[in-house]
Amino acid sequence: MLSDNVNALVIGVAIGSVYGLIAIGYSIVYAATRVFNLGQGDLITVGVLLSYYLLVVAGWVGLAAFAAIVASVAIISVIEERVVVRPALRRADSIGWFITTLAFGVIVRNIYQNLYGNAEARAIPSPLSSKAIQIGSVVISPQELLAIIALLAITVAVELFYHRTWWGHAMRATSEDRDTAALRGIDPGRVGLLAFAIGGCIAGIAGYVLGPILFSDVNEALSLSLKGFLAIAIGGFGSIRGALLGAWALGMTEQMVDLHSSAAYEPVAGLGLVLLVLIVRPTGIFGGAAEREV
Amino acid sequence: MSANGTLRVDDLHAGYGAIEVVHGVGLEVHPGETVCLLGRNGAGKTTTLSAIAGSCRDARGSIRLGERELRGLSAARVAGAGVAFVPEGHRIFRSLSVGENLRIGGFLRRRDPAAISADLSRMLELFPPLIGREKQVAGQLSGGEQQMVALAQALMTAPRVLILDEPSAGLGPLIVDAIYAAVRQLRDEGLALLIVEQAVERALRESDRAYVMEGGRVVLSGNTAELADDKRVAEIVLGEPTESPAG
Amino acid sequence: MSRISTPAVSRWLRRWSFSIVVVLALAGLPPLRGWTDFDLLRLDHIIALVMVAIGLNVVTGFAGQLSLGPGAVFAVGGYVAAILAFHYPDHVNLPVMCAVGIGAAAIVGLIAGVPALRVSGFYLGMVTLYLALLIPSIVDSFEVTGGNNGIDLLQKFPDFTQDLSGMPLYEVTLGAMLAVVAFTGLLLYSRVGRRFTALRTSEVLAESLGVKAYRTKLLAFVISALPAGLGGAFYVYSQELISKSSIDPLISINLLAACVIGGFGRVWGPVVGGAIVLGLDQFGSNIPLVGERLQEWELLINGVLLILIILLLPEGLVGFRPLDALRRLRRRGVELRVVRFPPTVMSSGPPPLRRCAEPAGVFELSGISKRFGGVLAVDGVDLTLRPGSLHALIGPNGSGKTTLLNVASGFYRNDSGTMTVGNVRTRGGDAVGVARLGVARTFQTPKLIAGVSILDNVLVAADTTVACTGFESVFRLPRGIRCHHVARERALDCLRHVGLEAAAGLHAGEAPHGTRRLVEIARAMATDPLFLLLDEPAAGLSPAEVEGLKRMLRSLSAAGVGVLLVEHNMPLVLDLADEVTVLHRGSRIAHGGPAEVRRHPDVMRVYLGAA
Repeated sequence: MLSDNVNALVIGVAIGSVYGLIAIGYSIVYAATRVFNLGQGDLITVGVLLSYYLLVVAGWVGLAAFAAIVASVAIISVIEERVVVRPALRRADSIGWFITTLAFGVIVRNIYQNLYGNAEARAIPSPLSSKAIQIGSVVISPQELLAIIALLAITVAVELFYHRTWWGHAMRATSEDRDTAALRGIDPGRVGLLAFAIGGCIAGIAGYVLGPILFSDVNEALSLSLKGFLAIAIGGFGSIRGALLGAWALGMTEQMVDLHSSAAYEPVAGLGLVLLVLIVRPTGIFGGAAEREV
Repeated sequence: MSANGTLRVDDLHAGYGAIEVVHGVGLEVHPGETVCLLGRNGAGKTTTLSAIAGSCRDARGSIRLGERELRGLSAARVAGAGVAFVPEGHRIFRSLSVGENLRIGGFLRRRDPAAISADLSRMLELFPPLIGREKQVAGQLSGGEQQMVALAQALMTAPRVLILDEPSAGLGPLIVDAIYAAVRQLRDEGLALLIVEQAVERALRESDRAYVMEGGRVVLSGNTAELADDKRVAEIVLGEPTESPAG
Repeated sequence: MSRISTPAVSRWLRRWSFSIVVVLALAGLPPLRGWTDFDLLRLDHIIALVMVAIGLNVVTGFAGQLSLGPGAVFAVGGYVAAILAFHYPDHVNLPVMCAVGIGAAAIVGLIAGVPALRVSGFYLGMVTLYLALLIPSIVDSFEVTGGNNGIDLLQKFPDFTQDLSGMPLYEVTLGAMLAVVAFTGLLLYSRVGRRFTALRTSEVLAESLGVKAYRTKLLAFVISALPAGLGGAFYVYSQELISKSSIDPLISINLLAACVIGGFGRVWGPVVGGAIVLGLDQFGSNIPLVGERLQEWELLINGVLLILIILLLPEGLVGFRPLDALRRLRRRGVELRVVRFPPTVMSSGPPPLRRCAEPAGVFELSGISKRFGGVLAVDGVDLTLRPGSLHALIGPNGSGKTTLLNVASGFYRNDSGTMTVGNVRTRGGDAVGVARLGVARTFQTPKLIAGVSILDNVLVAADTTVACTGFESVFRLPRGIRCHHVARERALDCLRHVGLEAAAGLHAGEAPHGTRRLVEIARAMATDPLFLLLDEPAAGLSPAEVEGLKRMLRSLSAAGVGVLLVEHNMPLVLDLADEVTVLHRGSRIAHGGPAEVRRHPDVMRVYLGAA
């Protein structure tokens, strides 16, 4: 029984890493722009479908397909920033962006759904072997392992970017105080564009890594988006480490509920966990404390 | 320095939304002088400063630095043109370290690392209390130290004009003295300084010329030596002659 | 020539013509066009969902809480009604289903409102969107909800809707929707609606008036659930089916689109937007040539519409005023105008205050400290506010005056020290409690409810002084109407006292800064306070207005109110105050009568920076 629990927790980390790949994309965009990009889930699905198209239909080799996917998704994300986010941000104190990013996601979804048609979701070949790896009593597929590694690698890369580069500093400064950052010559518009570009790259990587796990399913986007949100709500907004740990906590909770009761309660467990965190610490585990503004 | 470094504001109208607060302000700040802007709360001082800095874009009129028109530029571009604005209330990046706070001021010159590290050590000379604090998170500093970080950060943009909004607000006398010592040194090095200050005597003592605002307009201006004896200044800023028979 | 076109009639027409046209069109169109039962069924479907959108408008448009929960509530209301009808077909008819649907919805609405107590803004939108996503996967996994197939009433009872179908059913459904529209109209212009709009403007504002933000939020969620549950019941009754696809999370997004396109906060907004979004969904394929394509690209069209409306017509179609937009377009860019409002004549007569006439205790703050990070903003300050006396709190910028006022009015939690009003102990952090003890305040940056009149801004405060329930007010019961008149008179009296009676009907959003301050003072007066905390009331006023303000403040303290005046304007303070407290860097450096304080060497030093 213990081994079942351990196995569930490890799978939880793997599934959590899937959520984490979404959550980190949200986080980097949110930190720089205070916009929660509701189109992120659809961007990932574009990545998944592109990997299906390039790898299965067009028969590209892995690396070329990977580069093409990341670049295309990043471009779509940048278009989103320019066309629907920036104009919405021009109006102060409004959450117009909530609706425009949601609408952008809906538009993208409608396009890929129509392009893909009514075909069944198909398997996408993994660049890795399909044979499960066994470590002690734990069984994990190479692709799931890749998701964990990809998430860790992106987390480290983003933290290094934040702390070691000029633009990373600019992004953190903008995140904290847009106006003062602008007074020091940091154009908040360019920071936002960069954040969306990075967010798009992460969505592309996520699409490539998740393809073999999710199949070419066109209907997963909304639910994935929301799982990513739950992860951030647990971990704390704008914190990269928070996104990572929140995602793992969510994945493990779901798997434990799955193991000990029924898969039907899995989504409820996620919401329960979020509500619990909200009650104890409304800004999330790694979110800063907020003093109300008068 | 030539007239090239002079900040010249002409017939500036500015406000927020549909409401105009500043009605046709004109002023000049030359390199190597400190100019203060006095007036009661609500007289339009801060709005004037924000309009110059590009934070408040609802403005018309002319704001020129040398030959270059700044009106209509974004705050980031105004910073790039050589105007650094330190808003009231020491707004620094509290979650960044002190060192990061200073370095971020060099963002526009990021391709010149030598100049940046030279200026970084200059900032520590100018504000000795910051020495050894570079790794500390800025939000933990005292109010006075935070104000020094804000000033140093602005100076790291290598400005030609430095604009300070109430640099002494809420700070102790020793810190205020230290800040004004830095202001004098910067002026002597040829910087143009424009300062809004509530403490009238202090402001007049520390600056070369002054403008007095009321109701969104400049109502009085001149050399501080003359204005210091002018009863009208106190009348406008504090509302009435302060030496009037009390009680 | 004709006597009919009097201003009253034209006003009446302007106010009601839109409603009349909509009602006539909805009631008349189907019979005139000879629509089939199948068309009517689709209309019923649209109307059921419009009811849900109307609910969404209450919580998001009126009360400002971004929620996508009504989709989930609709699902629950529908499923509960369907389960009941499925198991007790003989006892269950449309009214019963509606009652059950509404009841279940109220409970779920309450649950959906719980996250709103902790979070707001888009965060709340996401949590409630997740709720909408959750319901389909829950119904999927239980037997009582029919699993993946849902509950098919038609299959089990072929004669299920026998007693009402076709045209009569359409008429009843339409009637129910119009009743819901009328209800939200009554709601918006009642004391409940005014509280909602205050909450929408700012939680801080609502609490400063003694309105409990959390209770108001929950009420908004519950009220918004009622039409959603009703819609669920009508949906099940007319479609005779509910399944996972009836409650797709995309429906929640469609409903959001309906409200945005029609206009959040407008009574007819969700109906107009719903007609467009849901009409396209149901009837798009009927359009010749492009029909099929239209259906295929429906989401894209909705998405583009949403983006265009948000960016170009943020008020929505119903709120769109072409003439205003044209004017805005012409004024675009940097041109500013100096707004002219009716001249202000402040009264120095007795103010419309009652409570303060009776002797009350003092408002006592002792040893108050407040720290922000490394900065000690207020450091052990004592301050006593006496009834009928004017206490000025002065000090240079950054000395902690506003922080102290925020502690005193209950918005900041003090780190140490005690507060008592009369002999009641209170504390920083409990704004509603402080407000209810009779402490009213104004804000340095006035917080006015935009989009409503100046009178309504004051009325929301006057509402707190009359004893009547929200129910009586919404449904215009005799006591509700009486209370409304009393509150309205009181609000007008307060506006008259600050000299703004003539501006009562003007939109608050257009008022210049000085006027805003006066509206805030009138609003604070309208709560009938014992103590009044004013944050820089003279800033932005002309010298003549400052003179009027002086007289008015004297009239307030003469009436028995204890006034705390945070102010920079020294002569105003020295002229008016009975007592002066001087703060510097968070500490009290002087206290006493104005004459005493002005001679105090420390005061001269901090004010003038003299060495």
